[in-house]
Amino acid sequence: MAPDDTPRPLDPLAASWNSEHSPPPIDLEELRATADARRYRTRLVMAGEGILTAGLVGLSATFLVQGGPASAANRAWLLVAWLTWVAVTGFATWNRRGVARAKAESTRSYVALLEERARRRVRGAAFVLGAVAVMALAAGVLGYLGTASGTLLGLYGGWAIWYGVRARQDVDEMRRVRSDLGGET
Amino acid sequence: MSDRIRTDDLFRRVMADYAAGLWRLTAGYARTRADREDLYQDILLAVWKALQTFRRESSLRTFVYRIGHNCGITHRRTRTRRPTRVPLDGLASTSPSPESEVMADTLRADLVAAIRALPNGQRQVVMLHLEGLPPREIGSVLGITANNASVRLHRARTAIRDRIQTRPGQGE
Repeated sequence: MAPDDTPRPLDPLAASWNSEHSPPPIDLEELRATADARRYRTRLVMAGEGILTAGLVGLSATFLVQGGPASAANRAWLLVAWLTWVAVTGFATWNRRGVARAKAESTRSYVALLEERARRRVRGAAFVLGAVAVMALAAGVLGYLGTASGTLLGLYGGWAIWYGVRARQDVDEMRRVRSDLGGET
Repeated sequence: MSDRIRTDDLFRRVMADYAAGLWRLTAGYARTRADREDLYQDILLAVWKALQTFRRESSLRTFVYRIGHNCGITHRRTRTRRPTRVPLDGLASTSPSPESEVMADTLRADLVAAIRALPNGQRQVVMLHLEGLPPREIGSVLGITANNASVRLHRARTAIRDRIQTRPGQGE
C-alpha cells in the first residue's frame, strides 16, 4: 500500500486491476548477482576496444622501429590514428555515463535522452568511418598499406559500421516511441 | 550510515510499498509471465542502481514509477540483446480456483488486454491512475501537464470501456 494519504479513486476498474497484489519475491543478494552478470556484456565491449587498442600499440611499435625516408610520414599517420582512437573511446565512455540516473527522469525526458544518445553514436560511427577512409588513403598514397595496418583499418571500419547500424536502429525506435507517447495537446 | 546501507534501506522501503504496483505495471508491457518476470527484474535492478543517486527531488513514488515505465517502454527493444537472467522464485499457484475467482481473473485479463491495446501515451496514464496517482503526479512521472494527463485518461477509459463492453457477456 502507498505510504501517503492520496485516496484511491472510486473506479470499478481499479478493484479489478489491484486484485493482483502478490509479486514474485526477490532477494537483494540475488539482484546484486544479476547486476554482476549484466556487466558481462559491458566487459565484452570494453575487451573489444582493448583488443583494437592493443593492435594500434603493436602497429605503433612496428612503425617506430622502422627507419628510412618514410618514418616521418609513418609517425604522422600514427598520430592521427591515436588521436582518433582516443577521441572515440573517450566519447564512448562519456556517452555511457549517467544511464542509470537517466531512468529516473520523466518518460518524455528519458526517451528524448535515449534518442539524442543514439544520434551521437551515429555521428561517432560516421567520424570513425571517415577517419578510417582518410588513413587508408594516406597509407595507400605513402605506399605502406601492409597486412597489419590493413587488417587494423578493416577492424576499425567494421566495428564502426556495426556500431552505426545499431545506433541508427535505436534512433528509429526511439522516434517511434516518442510519436506513440504523444504530444502535449 | 554508509551509502550502501542507505541504498539497501531505501530499496527495502520500495519493495514494501511499491513492489505490487511495479509487478502490476509489467502486465501493461509484457504478455507472458516469463516476460513479466524479466521486466520486473529489470525494473528492480534499475531502481536499486538509481537509488544510489536519489536526492529527493521528487517523491519516492514518482521516482519509482518513472523508472518502472521507462524500463517498460524500452523493454521490447532490449529483450533480445540480454544475457540469460537468474530466475526469480515464487511461481503462481496452480491449485483450482472457485468460480468467482475465475470470473474475476477473466475480467482482469480483459482489462489488461484492453490496456495493452492502448497507445503508450494512454496506457501509461491509465496504469498510473489505477495505482492511485492523481493527475498532477501522473504528469510528473510522464513529463506532461496534469490537464494533458486528464485528457488522455478520459480517452483511455472510453477506449477500455468500449473494448470490454463489445466482448460477449461482458460489462462494467
